[in-house]
Amino acid sequence: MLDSKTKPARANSGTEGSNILRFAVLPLLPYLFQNIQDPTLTKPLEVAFTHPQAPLRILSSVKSPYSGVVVVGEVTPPTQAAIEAGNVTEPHSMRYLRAGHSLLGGVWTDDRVYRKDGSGPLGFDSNGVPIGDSVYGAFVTQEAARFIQRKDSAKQQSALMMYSLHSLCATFLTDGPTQWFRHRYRDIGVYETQNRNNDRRN
Amino acid sequence: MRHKIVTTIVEIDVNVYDAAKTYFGLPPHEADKVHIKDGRSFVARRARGIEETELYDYVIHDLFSGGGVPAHMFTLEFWQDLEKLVKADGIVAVVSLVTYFRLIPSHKSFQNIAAPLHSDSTRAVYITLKKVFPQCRVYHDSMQEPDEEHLKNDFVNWVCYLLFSARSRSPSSQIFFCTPSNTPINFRPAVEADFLDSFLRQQVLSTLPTREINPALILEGLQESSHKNYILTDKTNPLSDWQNKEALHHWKLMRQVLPDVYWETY
Repeated sequence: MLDSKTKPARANSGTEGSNILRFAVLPLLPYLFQNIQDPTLTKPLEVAFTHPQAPLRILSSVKSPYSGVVVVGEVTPPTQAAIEAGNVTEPHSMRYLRAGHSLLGGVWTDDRVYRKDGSGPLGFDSNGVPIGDSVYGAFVTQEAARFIQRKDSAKQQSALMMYSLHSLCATFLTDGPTQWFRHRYRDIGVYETQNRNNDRRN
Repeated sequence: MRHKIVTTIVEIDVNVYDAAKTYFGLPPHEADKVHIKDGRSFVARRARGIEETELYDYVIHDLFSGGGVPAHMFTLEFWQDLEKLVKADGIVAVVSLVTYFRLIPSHKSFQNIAAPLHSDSTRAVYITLKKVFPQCRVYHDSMQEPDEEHLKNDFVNWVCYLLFSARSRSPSSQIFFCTPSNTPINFRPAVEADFLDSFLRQQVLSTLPTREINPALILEGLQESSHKNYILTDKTNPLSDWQNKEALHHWKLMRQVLPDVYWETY
């Protein structure tokens, strides 16, 4: 028969075992935090992120109560080495807007920004970076509303734009070179790509 | 202003607005011309005189995102409110559901493979719009699949080819141009000044007449006595349910446009 002096020590050894386990894990915590952590970027993103392997740059990433996340990213142009190796994949030279799981649209960048007349880029972003035509043709069709014959079309007109702004055909209805979506330009050959840095608006 | 039109913007997500201003060239607007709020509320308050409003020449209603549209902004009640904000001969351009076309070259026509023109959702949107706007014309924006010779000589179709290369499926929107007026809608031809030096505008706007959809195709096989069953109301609105299947398909298509690393890096 058991007495108090011969009580099994199971309960005490279990508690001690848990404590030992906790202390054993402690030294591993820095490794765990470094390697097993949220793989997403810090939000809001303070500095543009350049992917170490892929031709990808994230310019902005913020949390959104409606989409989860709103991201502005770029598919950067191929490197000279990639071009020479014939290892160029499409699309590239493109800036895109993503909301949640939806690729809302984008504009062409870098060597793909030029006007029909070759006089320069179609537009600029707020930082003076040249941007081109839309990557989707979809949103331009809406501009055909202006073609509908109406009696007083010559007077000052007004418009209500109810959008997810990815599809804002801003040039349709506002001032400035505000096209959101561009299309790849025909190979103009007038505006040399080497001069593109000179296009940055002062 | 490039087209002499003063614009008012309504966008629910300030982060999208900020991204548009910073990275995509959206010009500054007067504070009273930017409304970061739900569009339904914006329209309702003005339609009912709670807030002052102007009457607009144009309303662009483009709310497609993530494979669907906000169903509460496609109901009869919403269009009735919106109609109060539009001039008597004003134009409402509504971008509806993205559908997926496969071009059948031999037939030189589009086969709508994922959301047929005569789908419940398309019919419902059209029939409900027509209850408020007596005149509507419908267009899609799919570009024809270019043949090899065309590709060599015309890079304007380059993006269309790229989209077509994704398993020959190209997302396409239906755009409804509607007016409260009883006068039939007539489009003038596009002119150079409309293109604003953009190849995209030139390609899309100059070919608009080729992309009209006959409403008869939308209503094909549907008895007129059944139209009432397709009117979307605040009380009866199955649009979201109908779109659920399309949302997954849209997501799969989006994953084909950009490789996985672009979706996994955010």
